Amino acid sequence: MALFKKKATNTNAEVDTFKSPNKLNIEPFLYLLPFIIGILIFTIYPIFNVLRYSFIEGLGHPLGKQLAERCTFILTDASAKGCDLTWGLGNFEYVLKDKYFWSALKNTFQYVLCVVPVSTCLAIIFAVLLNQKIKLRGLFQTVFFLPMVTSSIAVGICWKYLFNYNYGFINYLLNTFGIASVDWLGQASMNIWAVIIYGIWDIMPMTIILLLSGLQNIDEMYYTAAKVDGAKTLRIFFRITVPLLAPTIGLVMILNTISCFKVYSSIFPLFNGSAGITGKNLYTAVFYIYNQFFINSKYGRAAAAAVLLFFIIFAFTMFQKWFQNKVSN
Amino acid sequence: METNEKVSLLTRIKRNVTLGKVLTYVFLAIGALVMVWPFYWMISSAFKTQLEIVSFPPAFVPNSWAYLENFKIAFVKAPFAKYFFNSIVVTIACVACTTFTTILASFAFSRLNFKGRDLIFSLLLSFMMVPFEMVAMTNTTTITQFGLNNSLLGLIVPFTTSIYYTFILRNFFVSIPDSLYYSARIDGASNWQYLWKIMVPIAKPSLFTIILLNALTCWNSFFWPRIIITSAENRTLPFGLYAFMSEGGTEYGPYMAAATIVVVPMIALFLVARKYIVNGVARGGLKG
Amino acid sequence: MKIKIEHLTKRFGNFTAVDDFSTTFEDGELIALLGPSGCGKSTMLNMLSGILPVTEGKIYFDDDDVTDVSPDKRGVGLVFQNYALYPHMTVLQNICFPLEIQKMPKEERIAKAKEMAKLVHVDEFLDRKPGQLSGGQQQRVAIARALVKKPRLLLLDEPLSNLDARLRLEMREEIRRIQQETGITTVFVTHDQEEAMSISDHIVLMKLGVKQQYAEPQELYNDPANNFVADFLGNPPINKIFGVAKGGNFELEDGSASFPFELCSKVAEGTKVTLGIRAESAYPVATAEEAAFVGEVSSTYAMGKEELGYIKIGNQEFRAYIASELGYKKGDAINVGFKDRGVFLFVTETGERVR
Repeated sequence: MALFKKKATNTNAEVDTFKSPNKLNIEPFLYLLPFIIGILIFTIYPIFNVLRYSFIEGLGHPLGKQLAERCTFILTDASAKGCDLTWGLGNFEYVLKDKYFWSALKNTFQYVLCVVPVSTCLAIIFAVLLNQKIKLRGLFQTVFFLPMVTSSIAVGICWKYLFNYNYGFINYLLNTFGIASVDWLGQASMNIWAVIIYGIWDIMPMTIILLLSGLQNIDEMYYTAAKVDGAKTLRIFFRITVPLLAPTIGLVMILNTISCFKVYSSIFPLFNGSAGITGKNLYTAVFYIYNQFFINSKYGRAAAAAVLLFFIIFAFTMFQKWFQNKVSN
Repeated sequence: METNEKVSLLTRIKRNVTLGKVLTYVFLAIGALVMVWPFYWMISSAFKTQLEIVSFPPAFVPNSWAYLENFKIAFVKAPFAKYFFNSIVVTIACVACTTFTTILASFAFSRLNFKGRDLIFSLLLSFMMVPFEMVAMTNTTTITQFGLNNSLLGLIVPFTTSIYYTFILRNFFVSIPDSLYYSARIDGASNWQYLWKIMVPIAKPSLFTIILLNALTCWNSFFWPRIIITSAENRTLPFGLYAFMSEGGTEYGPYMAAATIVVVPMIALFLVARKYIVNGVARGGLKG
Repeated sequence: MKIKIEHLTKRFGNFTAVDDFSTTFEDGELIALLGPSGCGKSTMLNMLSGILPVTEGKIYFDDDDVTDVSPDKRGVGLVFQNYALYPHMTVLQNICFPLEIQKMPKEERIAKAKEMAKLVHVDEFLDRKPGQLSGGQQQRVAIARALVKKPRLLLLDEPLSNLDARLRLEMREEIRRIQQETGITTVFVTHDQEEAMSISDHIVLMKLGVKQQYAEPQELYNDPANNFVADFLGNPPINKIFGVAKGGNFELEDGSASFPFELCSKVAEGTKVTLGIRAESAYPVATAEEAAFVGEVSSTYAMGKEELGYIKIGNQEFRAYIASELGYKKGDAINVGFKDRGVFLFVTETGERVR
């Protein structure tokens, strides 16, 4: 009966409506209506629109913005309305040849390559410690997770103060250990390191939470067995915890990579909204898109860059799905 | 002989355990200090005089916790009360609308039946990986065409639906046994009554989670307001704070006071509802 | 309320769950839908409740055709296997829920719910949540909730399968008591023959979506319609000896033994037949003349005053009760006689009973 019952409840196409199957049932669509309207206008339409923008060359024109306002909803017959727009790959060509785009990619990759491994390693250690039966666990968790809930602008301003060359707390720390002060924000080559340090701090809570929930899924008996076998703490950590946590670690690294690719909001408050101290040295992928769009008004180029970013993220997401499937099998 | 060995093994383990415990606390304390330091620095600096702010080595504790000059300057130079009010309006409106549309859509996707239901749902899920940055450009144009730019409505309208929260809530709804639904229907309840009298009360923990995550995201949202809002009186807190900083001088005291105003409500919320927020994040991150 | 079911059929895609089912349940009876897993008994129940739309056929409650009536308008009460109590409501709120939906005034519905709680003996737990109740108590609450709106028909889906053995006996009696006190026509689904036999007025036995027999419990046992019914009921299960009808004789399949059996003359010569013998219907007799056939004792097990013995005929074995004082031992020849009741002949291929 069990098998059968399952069938009866899962193929409930006819079950739930309680109506004769011939009648068209509009009830589900009434429930969906508000949601679908919102998603259509603010998610689905923009996605296709960005794709379209990226292939319209005139939008890279200095007059792009006005043209775009007139021609936004035209698909094929652009010239009929006097718009100097043509279909083509010009936007992609421009973006791929733009040295700022490449420096944005380079910065983004450098950021990802530093933040993701360091934050993951630190987070593993703290997640394991937080998973112990310790006193004040609630307090420790609260403190560790705090950055997650706070405005990146507010905290970023504070970091700007901490990074200050003359009276910042970080240089004070360095001096205490006998290291000379560093001009984190004023010296172009140090800018990225400031952003990386802030980025690691910023991403820790989420990483720890995800790892903690992975740790809580590990069966206690493995630890008991290892302790009975007389294994030392460090050995248990490397031989039991890390291998069993590997799937979660992989997942966390991919999720963090995706989120790091979109780095932007932590740079903003540190440099008053410009891309680094010179205004050009700290472009990231998202920064590039925004500047093309809102400052240069090159809609097509911004769209082309956005599409490229999307494909990078898409690749990582697919990799994550593949990875998760592989692990769960 | 054998017992002796056992005893020494036990004491060794015991010693290891206590040493391990001490090390655990030491590491955790250092980590906690690093994580909490920026917040401590922010809040304490809000009470420091300009002299203390620029002193090096820095002043660890403000001379007087009753020094409120920085807050006064912040409130005089920028309408933070107004920003605060705007943030509250926008957050409440977004959360209320999103929760409502999410509940209805989750119900349809989990309980009601229509052709292509699961196909539509998985298509929507695939849109979840599109970064917001990609859709923001077009949404700017759309909001302008609606005539909603530079208005609080323009901050609210694009955020009245969410695929991610619908995904979380649908998954919870799916886990509620079918038999409850059939029972309720046989008891005479309509779909609408079942949704609000049975499903929503049962889903309270999940609802709390999505409401809190959504509230945090709305409250901290910066880029959308920065794009849409052009006049000072419509700014929300994070944007107002940023504007205050980029328009003002280099005096950190008032900045820290203003930043404290932005951060403290969310810290308070987190202290009260940590469990729900952490649960939500554990399910796959703060945003979709 | 009388329930008439005509040519009821339910198909899921190509799979037929219930096939051309017709029967009538009399008013005020307790009816068991009995059968093994996948026989379509729960599908039947769901069609009676209106949860599942029917593919073909009609359902009448008294004279009303309810085939296309939605469950909320059928006036049925349904108790699920897992009880389906609303976890966020107290016992009282659960029982009140159907009345609340009917917009009955609050005081009236609380009074009715309390009355119902008293009937099923859960009036001490009115303020508890379902999670704080035992399985049996949850069961009672679920029944109260189903009954409170005075349904014309009460449906119970495997009502006892989630309870432990002791509670199961208790709840079995309770269901019988409540049904008799309220007089509501009740249909319940079960796969447990003992459960069905002990409390129901009538049993519908189903197999692969097809009704096998609709009868009173004892009749089902004493006069099975076919091989499946005989097989499904009874503990120990009915003995089966496989053979061929030859000239009024029952001959074992391999021809190793043969004895006269009257019913064998009613089928065509050479038809493969199965002899079904209840363990209590075969007994040792003194002389070969009285015996149906002569077998050999292959083993015995002491069971108090009787022994359960395995008797061999040809190369097939069957069980019978043998009085211990007769002192049969392994290897002894034994004269086996048949009682009038409990011996059936079936056509092997179709399972059809030869009468």
